[in-house]
Amino acid sequence: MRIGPEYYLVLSAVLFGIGMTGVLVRRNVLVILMSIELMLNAANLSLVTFSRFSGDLSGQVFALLVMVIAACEVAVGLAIIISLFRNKDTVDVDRINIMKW
Amino acid sequence: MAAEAVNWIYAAGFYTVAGIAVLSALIVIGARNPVISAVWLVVCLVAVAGIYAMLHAQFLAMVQILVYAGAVMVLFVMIMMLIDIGKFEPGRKSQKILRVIAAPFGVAVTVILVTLAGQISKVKNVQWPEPPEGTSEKIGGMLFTKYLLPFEVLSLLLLAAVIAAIYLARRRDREES
Repeated sequence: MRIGPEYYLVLSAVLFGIGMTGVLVRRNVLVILMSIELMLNAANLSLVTFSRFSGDLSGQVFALLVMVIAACEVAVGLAIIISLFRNKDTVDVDRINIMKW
Repeated sequence: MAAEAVNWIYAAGFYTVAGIAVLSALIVIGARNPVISAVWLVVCLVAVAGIYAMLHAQFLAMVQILVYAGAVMVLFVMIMMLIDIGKFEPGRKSQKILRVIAAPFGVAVTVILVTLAGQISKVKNVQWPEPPEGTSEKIGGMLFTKYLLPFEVLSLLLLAAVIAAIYLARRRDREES
């Protein structure tokens, strides 16, 4: 048996689904950020898979660019968390409701 | 005969690494303590780096370990050290019910995605081209020729993110006093 693209894509889909479930279910904003990282990783995995099975390196270049975006997102996200913790003294998304009425 | 054996070893390796990735991802979203989540996220990211290596993306696998499992996760753990993650109170009842509804929704989307991904070989006959070797030389060459504009735009984005992070996280002494 040869491991074809569908195996990698199924793995990518499973990781994306786990990440999405984490975003929906968890309340700790740090864990939500980590789940977003999982989803970005899953998308990267399918980019690399298609790059391998189409014989073109463009997919890998784009995966690299997605990693840069993920790093930016983590930096800004964690800065927002620090700022939130200074103001609200919590990392629980249920208690961060200053924009709700 | 020999090729068959190589394929089997390859498949066994894939299943092992994929299993580690999925299990650690489940622990990431399941663990109560965010520090445990962070440690298992490192395991998951390293496993995905292993998958990249199997797909002949060596450079990307190394970047994944350096940037993700290294820099990004250190940042996460640093922030956990700075803020009090133990401060937790049980949420309101209605929001708990919302979460119970949300979990099957996530599982349903996962099932749909997996079904779609599994169909890919039926839509089009899978080709087995010579795998492009994702070495730093080739990726760097493409980055500085064909994809120069996205590369430059992203470097600007990185600069903007650094400035934004400093602005957001700075201490606002003047406003407090």
